[in-house]
Amino acid sequence: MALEDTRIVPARGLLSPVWLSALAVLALNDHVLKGSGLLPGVVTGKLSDVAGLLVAPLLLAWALRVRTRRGLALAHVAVGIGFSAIQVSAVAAAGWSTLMGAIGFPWVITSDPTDLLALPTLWVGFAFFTRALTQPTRSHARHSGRLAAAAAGLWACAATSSPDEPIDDPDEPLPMEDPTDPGKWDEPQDGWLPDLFTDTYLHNGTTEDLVVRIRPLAPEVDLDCDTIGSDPARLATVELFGLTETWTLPAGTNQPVLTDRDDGRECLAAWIEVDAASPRLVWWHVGDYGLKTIPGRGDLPEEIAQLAMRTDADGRRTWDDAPFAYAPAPAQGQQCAPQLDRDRVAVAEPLPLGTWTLDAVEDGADGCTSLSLSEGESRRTWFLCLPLKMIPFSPGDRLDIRPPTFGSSTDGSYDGVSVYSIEDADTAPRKLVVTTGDGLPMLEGLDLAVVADFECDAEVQPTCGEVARPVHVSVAGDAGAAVLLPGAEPSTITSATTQLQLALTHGTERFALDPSCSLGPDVLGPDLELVLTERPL
Amino acid sequence: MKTQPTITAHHGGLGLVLSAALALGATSGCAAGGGDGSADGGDPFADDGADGGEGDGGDGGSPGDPGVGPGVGQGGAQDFGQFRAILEAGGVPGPETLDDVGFFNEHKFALPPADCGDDVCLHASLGMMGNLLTGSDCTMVMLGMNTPIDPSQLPRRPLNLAIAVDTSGSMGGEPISRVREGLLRMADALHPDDRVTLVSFADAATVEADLTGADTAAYEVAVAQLSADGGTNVYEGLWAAYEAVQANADPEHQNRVLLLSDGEATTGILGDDKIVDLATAWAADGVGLSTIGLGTSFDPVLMRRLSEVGGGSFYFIDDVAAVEEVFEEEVEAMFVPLAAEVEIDLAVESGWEIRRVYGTKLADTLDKSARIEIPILQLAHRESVGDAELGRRGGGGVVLAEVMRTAGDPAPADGTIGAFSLRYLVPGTAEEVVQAGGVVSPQGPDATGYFSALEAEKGFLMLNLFVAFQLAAERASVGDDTAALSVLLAVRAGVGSWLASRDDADIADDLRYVDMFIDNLRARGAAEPPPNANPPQPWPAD
Repeated sequence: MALEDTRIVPARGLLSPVWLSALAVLALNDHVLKGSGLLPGVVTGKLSDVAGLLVAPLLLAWALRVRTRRGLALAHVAVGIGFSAIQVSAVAAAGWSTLMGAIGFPWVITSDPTDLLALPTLWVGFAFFTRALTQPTRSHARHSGRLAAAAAGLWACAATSSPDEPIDDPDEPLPMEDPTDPGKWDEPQDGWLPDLFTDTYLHNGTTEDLVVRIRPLAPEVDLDCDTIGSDPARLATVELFGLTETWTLPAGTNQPVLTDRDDGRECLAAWIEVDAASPRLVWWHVGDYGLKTIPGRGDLPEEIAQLAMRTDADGRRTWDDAPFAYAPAPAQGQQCAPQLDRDRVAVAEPLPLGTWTLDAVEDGADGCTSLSLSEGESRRTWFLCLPLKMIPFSPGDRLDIRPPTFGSSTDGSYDGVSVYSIEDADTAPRKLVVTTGDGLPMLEGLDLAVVADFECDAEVQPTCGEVARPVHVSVAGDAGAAVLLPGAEPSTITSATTQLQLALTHGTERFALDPSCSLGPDVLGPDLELVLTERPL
Repeated sequence: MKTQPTITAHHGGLGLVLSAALALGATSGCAAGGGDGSADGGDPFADDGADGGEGDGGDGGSPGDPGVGPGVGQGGAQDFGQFRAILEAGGVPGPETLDDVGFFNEHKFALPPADCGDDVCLHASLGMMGNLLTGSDCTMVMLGMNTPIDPSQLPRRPLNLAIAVDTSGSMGGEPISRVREGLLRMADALHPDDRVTLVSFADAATVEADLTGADTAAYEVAVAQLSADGGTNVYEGLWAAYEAVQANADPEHQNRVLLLSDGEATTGILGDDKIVDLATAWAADGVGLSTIGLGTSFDPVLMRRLSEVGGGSFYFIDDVAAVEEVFEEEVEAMFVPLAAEVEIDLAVESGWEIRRVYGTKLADTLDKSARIEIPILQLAHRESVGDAELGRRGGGGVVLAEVMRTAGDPAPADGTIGAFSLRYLVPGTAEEVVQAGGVVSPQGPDATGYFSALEAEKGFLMLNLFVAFQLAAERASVGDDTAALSVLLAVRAGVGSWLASRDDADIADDLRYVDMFIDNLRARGAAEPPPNANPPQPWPAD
């Protein structure tokens, strides 16, 4: 028969009815009751908390070979601190989850301060075990029973997730909790999911896991929310969307459409793809759907913020209708012909700034022109892709090539080049000015206005998902007036002293733009290219 | 007018492949075939053994000789070397580095003997099976061309060739050394009556030499003096090269430009469209353009577009062997026109429609018909499937038309799917050659696991591999590595099964790159797709 031992021996508690009962409750609850529907979720959740707070401290004391009451108390305090930390801090919860995952027992923990209500259990346990650990136990139970109990306790505390669904990637989102069980000690991954706090969400209404690929708007894309939002199915094309976020939604679960919306836009959008289903474009304005708590699991078909994927009678995947979801429907024919990049002006870079003698002008097979320039020993072939008739120079001319003058006659700014012929003092120079940007240059004695072609809708352009509609430029002054249509033949305005030729080689107003892809200015609004020739009379 | 016999019975099989497709959750065509890969229920491998690669070629079932002699190329990309090089370097290639023409051209097909009596023979074969990615129905008409002409016996017209060499700073070191070597090796292939202009371009273009083929010493000196420095003014380099060809223009010569570059345009006229417009304009004046990309940083889309509009070829040079092959091929083989103003037509019967044509950029596809108009057909480099010691490029490629059943419209019960024809002019003459034939499935319109020739199996696999590479590259480019992985794993299973009983160096090499792609995705952290993944992606346009 074992002799009495007055020291604190935590191993003795491992065979106490209270600890064993708590262990049984913990194991039964986590691995049988939860998700079975036998007990309300709120009950199973709290059972885990209470049972865990009874089991864990003694297990810790046993593992640390505690031999004093003070040590036992510290073990309870340590568990209490850890428990509290993961209930009030998502960072602590994630850290613990990662730590347990690293040793092969991934946990899914939801921070829930209401779980702190279970903390008094620690005091009850400490009071009971302080007595129990000083009671003698039968020696033959030491080796087998205690070790078995400890092993069972470790397993019950550690193996809380389904071994079939390990969390491989710590960056993956934690599955969400059962809405009826807002807090818990720890939860099996396959059954209990946290609430969502979101405005719109996806629901997997099928009976199988769904791999969902979500592409939010590319961060560099700029767009006019009102215009694109007027017909997103037609105007928001896949080119505007960025890198894919891939999520796996278990059957019956919900997932926010956007997990990161801190981009400052007034509108929100994503391109959503699911295997064996047509893609969906989702589009809404901030505030269209209020942020609210949505259960992590459960079908709420009447919820307008829900976009559900289901399986029809033929086994095909189909999307439910949702007011923020659209089947992409690119325009089949454009009302107004798009302006192609190949028709833009082009000026070879770098600019040959300075004074040159023009030795030769050659018209190329492609419509571009080469200017052979020389100055002393320097030689340079400079290419301009613009209408040849707009070049007012001929071999032998002395040219002064500069950046365009500053000062815009409209909102916006421009870049480009100015070329002047160098003449005698009493002769006015010939000028060639090419500007590109969202503004237009100032023209002496003339006013300019950029006017949208309201008969044309905004259309998706051939490249980069750009959305634009044509504009024209109206010019008026004492010398005359003209309407410059994009791509049209040059217009001529003649004053008493000069003949002015003006051509708008490109003129659009843009409503969606990826500056890293599209040519033209890097901002929404006008995209204008003007070629101007001035010849003295 | 000659008529080619209707293609008829040879039921090949892809039983293991079919099993793989079924394992992916196939529910339509493959399942309908009973799952054994053969519509008649027999052992799909029983009648054609495992020696693979040499079928009857769809000539009515009579045994034919294995394909010999060169295939016929249509220009455009000749390889997918940049895509391969990025994989070999441990990277993940972008979708812009792959196109169907280049990929197909790295596959040599053992077509039936070129015994049609003309310089170019068109062969059609049929494949009907569930695709390897989703298992959905995939009916494919493969059109391949070959020639009985022995290239060594074919005199070539003298060249008026301008070579525009990128000598920007990035070409320093090994790239410029490779170019020098290639240009020097090419000297041996020049004839005394050839005209060669060497143009270098960096910030600006310079004519380094303007010589005849007899001026070997001067040519070699000019090549040896090429050095690298400055930006990349592609537009000016091309402009100068075209002007040089124009200055030496001779109707008895072949007027061509060869562009070599390792990068993107950084100075001068920027923007691909303007540079392509320049090549388009000169092609209309009869000056062709071939392009060669070096390294992994050049603009593959621009180089490919230039060769397409220029009626030439686009090559990637990745090693010294490729230097020799490409330069010699460009001078000797590709400049021999076999046919001009080529038109290939495919029309399908009621109940069928043409979804897409792969392997050419020159197809105009309507629902019921497709026309491929090719300005000039030239000799391809490789003469047999095993002729790849200098690289896989130059296979000649094939054109694959994917056809599908039209919903609610019954197809002919006798299995007639459509008809094809080839029409071309003998170069330099007004003589017109016409060939025609039919496309019939002897097992009816709903056959699955049916291939009219063994080479059709290879075409089917090649198409699946191309689509898988393309989908994977597209998905990886938008950060979806897991989905990319799922596509590659799916196609890997099917192709690996086929190779277990077939011996094909091209497909085996493709599989090596599939594995490399998978490894590279995993190395950069791609999560494994779910074990019970659904079919990873609808077949394009499904």
